[in-house]
Amino acid sequence: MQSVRIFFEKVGLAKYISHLDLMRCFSRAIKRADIDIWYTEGYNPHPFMTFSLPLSLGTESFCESVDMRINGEMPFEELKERLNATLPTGIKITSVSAPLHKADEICFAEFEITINTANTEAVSSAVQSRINADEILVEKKAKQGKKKVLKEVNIKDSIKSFNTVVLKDRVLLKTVLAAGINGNINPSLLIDAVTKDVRDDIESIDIIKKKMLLSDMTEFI
Amino acid sequence: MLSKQQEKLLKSVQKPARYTGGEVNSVVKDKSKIKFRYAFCFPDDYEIGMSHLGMKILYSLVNAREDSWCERVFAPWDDMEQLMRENNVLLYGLESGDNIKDFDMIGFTLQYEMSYTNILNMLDLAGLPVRSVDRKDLTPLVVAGGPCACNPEPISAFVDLFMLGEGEEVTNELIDLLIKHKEMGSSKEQFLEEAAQIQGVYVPAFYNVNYNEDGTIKEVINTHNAPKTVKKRVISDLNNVFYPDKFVVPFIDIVHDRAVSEIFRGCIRGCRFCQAGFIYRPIREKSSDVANKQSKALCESTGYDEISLCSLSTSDYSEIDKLIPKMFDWALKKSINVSLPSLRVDNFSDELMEELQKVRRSGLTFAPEAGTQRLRDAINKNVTEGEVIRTAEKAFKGGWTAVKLYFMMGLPTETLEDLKGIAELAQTVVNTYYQNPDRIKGKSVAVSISVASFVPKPFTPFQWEPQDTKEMLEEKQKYLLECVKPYKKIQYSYHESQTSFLEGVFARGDRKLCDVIESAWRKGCKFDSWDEFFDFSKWQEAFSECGVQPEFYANRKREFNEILPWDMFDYGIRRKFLEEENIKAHKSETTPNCREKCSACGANMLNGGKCDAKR
Repeated sequence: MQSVRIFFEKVGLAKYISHLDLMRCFSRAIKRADIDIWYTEGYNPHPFMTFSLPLSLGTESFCESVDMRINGEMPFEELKERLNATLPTGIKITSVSAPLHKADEICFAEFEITINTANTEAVSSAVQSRINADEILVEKKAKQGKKKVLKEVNIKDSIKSFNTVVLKDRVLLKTVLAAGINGNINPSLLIDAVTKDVRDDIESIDIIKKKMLLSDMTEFI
Repeated sequence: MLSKQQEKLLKSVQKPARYTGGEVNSVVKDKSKIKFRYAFCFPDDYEIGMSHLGMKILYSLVNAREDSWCERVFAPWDDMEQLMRENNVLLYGLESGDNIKDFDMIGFTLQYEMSYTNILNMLDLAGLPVRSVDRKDLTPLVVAGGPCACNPEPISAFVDLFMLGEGEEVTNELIDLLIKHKEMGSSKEQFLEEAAQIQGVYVPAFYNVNYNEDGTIKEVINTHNAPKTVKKRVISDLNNVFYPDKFVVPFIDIVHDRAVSEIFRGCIRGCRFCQAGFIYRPIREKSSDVANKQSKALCESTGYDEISLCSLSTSDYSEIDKLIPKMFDWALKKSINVSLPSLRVDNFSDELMEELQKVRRSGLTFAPEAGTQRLRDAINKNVTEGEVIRTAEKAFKGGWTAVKLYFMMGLPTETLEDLKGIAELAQTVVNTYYQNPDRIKGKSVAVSISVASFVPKPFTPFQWEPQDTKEMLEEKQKYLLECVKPYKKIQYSYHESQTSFLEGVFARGDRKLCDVIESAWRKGCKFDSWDEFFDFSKWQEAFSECGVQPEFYANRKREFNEILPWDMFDYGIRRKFLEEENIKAHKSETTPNCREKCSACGANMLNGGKCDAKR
């Protein structure tokens, strides 16, 4: 048995595939590719697959990863080619390797956020003044016992870095946010909070996850 | 591919993957090489539509043609519809993102009556007039087929032509003809005149219906050389008819998310309430080799971990004992589950039971349909209480602890005694569980009974029968609830009677209902089979505004000599045969199944005298 870590992109319309649907999508692609993967051995055996971090619906990514075990041996390159032949458009394996880090070592994720707007200056300055404030409050879904509640939390400390670039018809934001089991920030929450004052100026927003990083800011592999 | 404008909407809707296309095995073609574009529409949401086998077959069949491109279209959910209307986004095909109003043909599949308003809504969302007469151009031609096409009169004003019977051949013939007329620059009428000559094609505009003073049909006059009687289409040889080797694999969870292998068409049983048991005759089987090969190909191309056999009554398949081991041979190795729906209780063999235990088991479902032997005889559901019990015994011994029993309420000749029988039969099943000495200690049994309201349908022996009124059904439901109360292990669920009432109206309705359906739709009716959308008061308004009495269609007893709206269609079943079956029902006399003895229903004549019930 061979443990493999598969890195893949999830771009274009594939960003609308939810996390749960993605697992099903992978297990079918694996079956179509006739790859003999290891099944759990419980009452209800299912293909064993672990995704490093769930990606929110509507966000594109260049750096998703899934771990699985292959019965027998298969060269990484062959695994990559066979899966790429059976995965749907928008999901593409970029590399296959033996896992080095543990998924719970992931501390940060880098995002590139494009705000499409005709009013770039106004949007950029509104975003900057929000980001420079002492507090950035967002509403987060939380559980109180069994009850679901909305909690206001300050996410200021979860923002590792934040840059703004103004282009002709859009504002580019590059940000590194806390990610993983020790606190995870959904970039769209942050964007909602910092664009509060200029919502009507915004045509659309695209978010791409570019890197998953460890505590020392090196890449998760 | 979606346009920017279309994609923008997806960010604020639930389950956006319903609207993206791009699923594995969806077909994208080069527009410049295509002569004919077809929008295959399912008038319900993505999850239901994508579960439908007929659509998968016809989608692949049309896309197998080099000159044509078939795309899928589903009814957008309410949130998406609102955004589409606000942003002037028209209904588009999932494969290309192109507006379907620019396609050559738009086809709807008619699976249940309660989806009719969605057809109007989808035409409207496409930017087309809903009425056939208001669509003057040859294309897009609006067509429809499916089981409800056996009485399409209530929607005959909206659809240009209907295809009766099985679609594999007639679809191709229609496409060829439409391509020819497009190239000739014909008018819509010129095309329809020639199309009406194809067997199985019904062009409602070419038939004038005159009524008697009491509202019944006086006569139907065929014009434009259209045939007096339209005969449904059947595929003669299932082993050689097109069957897809690929299914589009959805991203989101759909209702039936698995590969499906069709094993035969038609049914040998002749249950008198069941429309499917009559309109799909004669029986035609696939060989187990062909079915096995097709199943394997589908699993390989889709990556599904489950395959289900499809037919009206799986255990009546004459090669079932050959097919199951063949399929298990490769499926189990690949962790693929084989599921067998529609098993009948009376011929559940020990061997089959053993085989079934090899795969993951879910609950077991039986449909005795009626609570007493007398009523089961009247509806010709040839199952005895002893058989139900024996099967339950086997199932419990096999380790099942959950059994679901299906019944109907409001069947012709039904009395309170029959309803009480439902509760008693269910309790007998519960007792059977506790009499099994090998049962798992401490584990309880769950018997649920699901009771649907009977709706009389065309081309069945009960097509003349009055449907129980809402009041009668509500009373019966209350009574049954009382009967079930003392039995603690029985769960009882029933069907909404208002929906059944409307279903009954449309099932046996005539052309006067077109106005009602349009009016109800304009009031906002859509997704009528969904509790969260169904609004009976709007329907009541629509009926009264159009001066139509719905009870005339649902609750009235017809005489044998009345001209019924679907009498101009030939589904192979002799009318006289249905009359005889009706008379026998009232005497609680049974008719043997087709394999025991042929009752000469007439359907074999559609297939050159061949019927696989006798082999």
